[in-house]
Amino acid sequence: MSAILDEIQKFLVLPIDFPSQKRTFELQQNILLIGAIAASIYGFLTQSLYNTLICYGVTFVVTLLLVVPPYPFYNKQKLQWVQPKLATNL
Amino acid sequence: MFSLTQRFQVVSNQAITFSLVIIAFVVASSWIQLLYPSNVFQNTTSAIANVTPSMTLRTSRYYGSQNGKPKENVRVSFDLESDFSPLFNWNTKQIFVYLTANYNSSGSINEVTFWDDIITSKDKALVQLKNAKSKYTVWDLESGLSGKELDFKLHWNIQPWVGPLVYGETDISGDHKLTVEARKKNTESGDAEKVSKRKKKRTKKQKVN
Repeated sequence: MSAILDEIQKFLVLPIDFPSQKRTFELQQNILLIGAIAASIYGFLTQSLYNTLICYGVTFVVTLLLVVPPYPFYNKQKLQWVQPKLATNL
Repeated sequence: MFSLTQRFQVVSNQAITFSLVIIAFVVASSWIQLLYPSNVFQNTTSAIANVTPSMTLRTSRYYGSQNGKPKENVRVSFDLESDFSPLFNWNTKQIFVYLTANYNSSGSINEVTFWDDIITSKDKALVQLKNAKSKYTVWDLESGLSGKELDFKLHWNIQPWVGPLVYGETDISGDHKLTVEARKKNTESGDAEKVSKRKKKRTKKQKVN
């Protein structure tokens, strides 16, 4: 059983490359900040906490969809590892 | 931001952090709305009229009686008018309104609640009561209430969606001071006799049973 779980965990790592990691971090921070400010202002103008909640919830879901899945364009700049050289002069 | 779970955690953490900022904004803005354009702490008025007390003697422990000694219980009926709609803004869940009376009791000032109400929406914020009965019967812990001067006040308490409770008092107009009439001595003894008779009857019944 634990072997199967380990397999699933290995499959679910789904990494992205280094520049994309930095970019997605800044992206989610900015979207959530703008969303929070927009939700506050929208709720205040309509005098409804419900609107604030909906607005911020939508922002959160959008951020998740943009940042969490490992889209192909987050994996274009993969690190090129040095290829192992065959030892010749032993 | 390397793996799927890390990305999910970072996004949710950031969202929770910013939601605290939103909450702070909601609380601060609702407080400002209570102060401007009009300060509800000073400008909420109420009018009370026709406060008439009615006194009964109770011998139940649930009505303050001790050792079978009858206790003076006071109820009032009153007319009340007040508008609580300025207290409603986007952070108001409901308003608790309560009518209290202050009186001097052996050196200290007591505050007792006669009536209260919960206002759940702005449509119901206009309180207009005619000949309303007090919800609670009131007795003094030490002595009787007869001869005491009751000073009625109408308080409000905003229960918000987020943030701390906000308390305030309305500027009450009308005849809000009332002296409970002292009971005449002979009627008091008469009442006591009645009470003792009733007690005897009860004990007889219990014996029969």
